[in-house]
Amino acid sequence: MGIFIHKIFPRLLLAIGFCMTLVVCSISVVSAAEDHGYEMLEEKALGQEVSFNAWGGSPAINNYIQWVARQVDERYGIRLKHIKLTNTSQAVSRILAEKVAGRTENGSVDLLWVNGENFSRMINAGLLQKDSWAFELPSFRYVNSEKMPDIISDFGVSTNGLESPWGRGQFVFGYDSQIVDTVPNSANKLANWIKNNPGKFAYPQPPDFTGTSFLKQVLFELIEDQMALYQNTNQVNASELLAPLWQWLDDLHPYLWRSGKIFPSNYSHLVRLLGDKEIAFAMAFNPAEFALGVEQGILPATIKSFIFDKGALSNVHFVAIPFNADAPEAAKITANFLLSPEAQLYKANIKMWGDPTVLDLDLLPDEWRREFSSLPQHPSMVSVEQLQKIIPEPHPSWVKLIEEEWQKRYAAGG
Amino acid sequence: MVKWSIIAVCMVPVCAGLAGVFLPAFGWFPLYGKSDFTFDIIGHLVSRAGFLHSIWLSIFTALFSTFIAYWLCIFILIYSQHFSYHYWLRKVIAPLIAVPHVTMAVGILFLIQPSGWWFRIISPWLTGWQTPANLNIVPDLYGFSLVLGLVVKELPFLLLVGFAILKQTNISGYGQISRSLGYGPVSSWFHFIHPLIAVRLRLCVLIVLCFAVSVVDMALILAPSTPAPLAVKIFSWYQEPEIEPQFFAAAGSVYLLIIAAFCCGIWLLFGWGVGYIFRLFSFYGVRFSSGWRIAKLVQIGVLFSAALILLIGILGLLSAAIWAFADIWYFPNMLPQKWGVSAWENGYNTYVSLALNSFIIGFTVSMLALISAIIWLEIPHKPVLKITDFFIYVPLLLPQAGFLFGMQILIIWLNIDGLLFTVIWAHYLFVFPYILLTLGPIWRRFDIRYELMGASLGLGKLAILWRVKMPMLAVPIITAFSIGFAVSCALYLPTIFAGNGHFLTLTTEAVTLAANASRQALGIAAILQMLLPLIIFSAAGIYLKLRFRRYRYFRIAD
Repeated sequence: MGIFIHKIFPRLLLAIGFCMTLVVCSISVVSAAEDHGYEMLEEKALGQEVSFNAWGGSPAINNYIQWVARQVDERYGIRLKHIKLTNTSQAVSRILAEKVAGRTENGSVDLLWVNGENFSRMINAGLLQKDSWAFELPSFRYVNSEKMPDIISDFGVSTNGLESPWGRGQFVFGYDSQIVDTVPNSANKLANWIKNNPGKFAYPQPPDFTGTSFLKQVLFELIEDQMALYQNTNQVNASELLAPLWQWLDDLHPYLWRSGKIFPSNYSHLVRLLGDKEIAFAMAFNPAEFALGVEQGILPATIKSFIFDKGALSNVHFVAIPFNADAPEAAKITANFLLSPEAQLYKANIKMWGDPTVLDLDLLPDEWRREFSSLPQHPSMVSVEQLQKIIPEPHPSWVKLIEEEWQKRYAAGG
Repeated sequence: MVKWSIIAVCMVPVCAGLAGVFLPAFGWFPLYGKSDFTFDIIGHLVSRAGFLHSIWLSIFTALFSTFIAYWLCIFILIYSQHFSYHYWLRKVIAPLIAVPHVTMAVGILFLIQPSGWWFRIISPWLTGWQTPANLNIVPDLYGFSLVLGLVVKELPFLLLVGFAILKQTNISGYGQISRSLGYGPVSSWFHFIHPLIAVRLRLCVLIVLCFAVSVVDMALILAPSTPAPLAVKIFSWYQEPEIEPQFFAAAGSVYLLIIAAFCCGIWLLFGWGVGYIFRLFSFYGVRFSSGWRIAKLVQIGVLFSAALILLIGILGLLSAAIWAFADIWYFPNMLPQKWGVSAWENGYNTYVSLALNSFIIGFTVSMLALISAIIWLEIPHKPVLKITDFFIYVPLLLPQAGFLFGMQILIIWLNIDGLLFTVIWAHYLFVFPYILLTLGPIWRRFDIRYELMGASLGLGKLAILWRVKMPMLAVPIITAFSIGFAVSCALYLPTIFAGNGHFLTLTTEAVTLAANASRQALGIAAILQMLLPLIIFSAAGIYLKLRFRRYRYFRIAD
């Protein structure tokens, strides 16, 4: 039995993973792994402790994770511990330190909330599990990677099943309807509004995630050849393509909050300024952000949200298992639960967290589909139909280029 | 033997931490596929846009804030000899010392920003603002807000140490002598007492200076960001998910060390210059004996600015505390529209266990550090060991993110990560230098005649320590302990790194809360962080008062 568990079982998993990858490549929509393989996982997972490293800055998300912890405890006997991070890179560098120190098992992180650059950094440093476990999860059958390619392609980097989708971030604006009459739902309209209302607009300073995302969202409208954004910057004439963005910003910076000399440090800071009425707009990557803020009394009820007419920049966030996880089985079970219709439904509820689901409603059994379509709405939230307009994330190389150029242009002092 | 074990406990992780910064700075990090030594990264940084500006900001804010804090402190110490606001002052500075820098920064930001408390009080009836004005007050482009924040935190710290030093100095004696020689009250201070205090305070001031160079959390909130001071840039490089910035961060840390050394050099040179000028005055017999009126003006100016600075600190904390109990509070209301505790409901049952964790770690660490500091100071120094003194202060000087990474590899390699013991060890590295710092200068200048007297009465070495020296130095010892406790309570990254995130304290909770958009959460974070250290400070004060109430020696000069 011991040999089976330590030697054969992982190889078996690997083999299954390999087969599954083939399946994914061929038909995109993946069915579940053989059920008995999954039951084996459940057996091993019983009594394991999963240390789930996830950003802990939002009480709504923290409460949701607590709910998940209760569920996996009741169902699988898994003890889920939420390690609250202020920045995902904290956990990445801890795993890196473990790799440097030669710890190949008993790692301190079992499950990590991750996406984009952190994911690609972990891949490059070899910090993740080698098998395509995510494609084997039973819940993965409700995912449609043909319809939503970003579910297996994280900021353009293929996930290869090394991380399991958890939720969707979409770039929405919040605005104070007391100050703003008509919503400026395009880059040009926004520019006009800013010029007519000096000092009332700000965006977080890149390389802050939300700030850079704002620039990408605007760039998408200013650029003519949008497909160029999905290529590596060194394959296209990037500086020429970016010129309209810098022009747009050069024009507007004198009219920004603090005359574009000082920028809010991150989205939390931005939302606080919106609540203080120092500015009239804020932005966030969770469509429910402003509705949650209103519910919590952080923001007045006059705050509403909108997205740009062309669509909202959108990406998927994932959970991944490090190469040296102490309880990889329980971590997989947890990831599977996180992706299950039940957990996804609870997560999408505005009363809970309001994070949109990564499941394809068409693939769901009828009763779940009904549940999803009867989720409560909130006056401060963008409607679900509107959110269908998705702009996938550009190639990751653009982020670096935009951030460096921005730094040179607007943050070099002088 | 004991000494060597203290050195080992401190040095081993410090060396690992240094290696974690220096090796990548020179291009060596095999896991990222780079293993050749090169000066390219160090050289490249200088040519990066805004880098020199960042360096200038770091130097300016550090030197300027330390300058203000130091001279305000010296003047307050002078005047405190003549007035009885001493007692009141000690009450005021305790909370200011006890709270972490980041809490103070949040408080100050809310107090003076255009939508802050101050403008809420005078709006709209005075300013006519229905919505906040677009003023570049905080953070400002030149770093003055950061200077203000640093002074608010450092002045009380220097005052506390200064009061403890005064206790050990025979001031009234020198004062009588100097006045009998015809010196005015202030100039007599500069000729006779300032040199005595300056020597004892020097190390503290240098650490304050280095801290100001490397401060991140406060600078993130109060410093300009276009560009940011160097320490903040390093911090954000470390936070970036890509690999290249990790090397920039390491190389930037080397620059930060150089800047810290440079600032210390400037400071020492300046101190020497002041001393030289006063020696010239002495030489030519300039006594300023007739400058009473100017002295009076200086006194009013100094006291006014000191009061203003302390007031800003206190009001900042108060505003943060109000936020914690405000359900709804929008501009321009002077006070919350709706009071309540709804923000506390998220996990209040955990606060008790968090507080317990903070207390256990803080108390154990401060106790251990205090005991080892006393041993360290009691064992005579051999010249070789002088260098080790420097290494003890290294954890305070290096950017924590880089330093802790090297240390973390060591901890994981020893397979002791995630243990309470390891967290305590990591805290010890930061608490020990502070305790040594506050206690050392006073301890080393303890009047040896008391010890001789004890010996002549037949006491052994231990008995002299226990029955003569420690009771007489009770004020500085307990002060050092309280400061150590406050330092431990405020540590965030070391707690996370050494404890794998499994040991949660009030500060780890507060820092994650502070990532939230709600200012209520910030207020709660502030209260959580100031509570424990404040209790310890007050308890220490009460203990001293009760224990030594019969002895005139321990009463603060009044």
